[in-house]
Amino acid sequence: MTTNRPSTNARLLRWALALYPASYGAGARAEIADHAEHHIAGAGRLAGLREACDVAGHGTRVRLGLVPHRPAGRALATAAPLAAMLAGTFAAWHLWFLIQIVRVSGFDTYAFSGTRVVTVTVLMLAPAVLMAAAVLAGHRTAARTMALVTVLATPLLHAVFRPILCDYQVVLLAFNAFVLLVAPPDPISNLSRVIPWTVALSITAGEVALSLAGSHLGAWATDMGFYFVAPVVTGIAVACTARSVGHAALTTAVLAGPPLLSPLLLDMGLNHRALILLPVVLFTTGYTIAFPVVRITARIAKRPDHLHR
Amino acid sequence: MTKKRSMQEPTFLLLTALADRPRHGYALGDEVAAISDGRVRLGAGSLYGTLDRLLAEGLIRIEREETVDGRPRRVFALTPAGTTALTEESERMRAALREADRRLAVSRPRLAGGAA
Repeated sequence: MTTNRPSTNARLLRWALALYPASYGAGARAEIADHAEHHIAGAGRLAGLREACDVAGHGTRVRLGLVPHRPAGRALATAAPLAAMLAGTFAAWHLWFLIQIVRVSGFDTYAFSGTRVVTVTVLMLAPAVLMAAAVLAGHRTAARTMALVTVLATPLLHAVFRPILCDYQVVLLAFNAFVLLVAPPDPISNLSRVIPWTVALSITAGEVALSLAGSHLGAWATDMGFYFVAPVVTGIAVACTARSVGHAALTTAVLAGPPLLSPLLLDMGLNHRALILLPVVLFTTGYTIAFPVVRITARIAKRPDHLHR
Repeated sequence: MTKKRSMQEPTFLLLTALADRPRHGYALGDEVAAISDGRVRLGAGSLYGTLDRLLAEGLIRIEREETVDGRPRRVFALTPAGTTALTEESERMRAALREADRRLAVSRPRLAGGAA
């Protein structure tokens, strides 16, 4: 006796198709279903799962209006590589500190659980670093996979093992990775090839410079370097990337989401809220400074697209 | 802030697949894979997402809707704006290729001389 039970991927596809809003049209949905079913039928289990996830991603973005030809979707697509750079450089910087501490003081620094805390912290931070590296290398699928791992694994490991990161740092990492995860996968142009590299190198250079100056300027330079340098550099990147002031404002709003939403999820004191709001102010400051510079430079050079090649 | 931007590869391949004649979505997926020698394979979500965007930007249009074996199909075609965009991108790429060939032609004899 044979059964015609649909495969797991076929069932997943059916759920994925339910994500499309009715306004998308029954005909268009049926066409996508036909196309995806055909792919799944001839594909392996993993390839079929990827197909179902691809349809689910598109359906969700259509439902939420986050498609690249809508302003919100375009802003998300512009913000995504920048958010990945923020999360990646933040995680890389903490990994670097961890390595330095372990190198100088050994694993005994964390007297309560020694190597376990160090291992869990490395596992928490590594996906965000890999996500940023994948964005820089232009491997979009790998970057989105790492973003998914960061969103799921980082808060989970933090909740279970409580390693050395603060709650809001974990939330910021996960939210920034989430921005890349939900952003449209097919942005209109290749503008993001140079900008993420520039952002990553500028943040790293700023961090290293402030860290070296730490002995003269005090510990705050080392601790606060990222919170000042990264938002300003990101604001400048938005000014170099966004097509209009409205697009830049929406992109800034997306990037400001993680630091603004963190206090809503965590029980934070007023002084911490001020600290979290600081990046938003600095994003805007960086943008405000860079916007006229970019415009004037573009006019003088008469090569307005040099930043996007 | 910019006037001209380079296209993403899937966009370029989709417009190229529509350059000779209109095609429906499924055929477009196969055609993109064939043009890119199997390197680019668009899932249904990515393919229709990109088609939606190209429709919204006016680079392609729905030429007709038909039903094959009881299944609906939209047949997509390039618009004049899409033809212009593809032509410009193709010329941009051709200029870059010419420059690459010119520089390689300069460096090859030098490398050959160095190796001798």
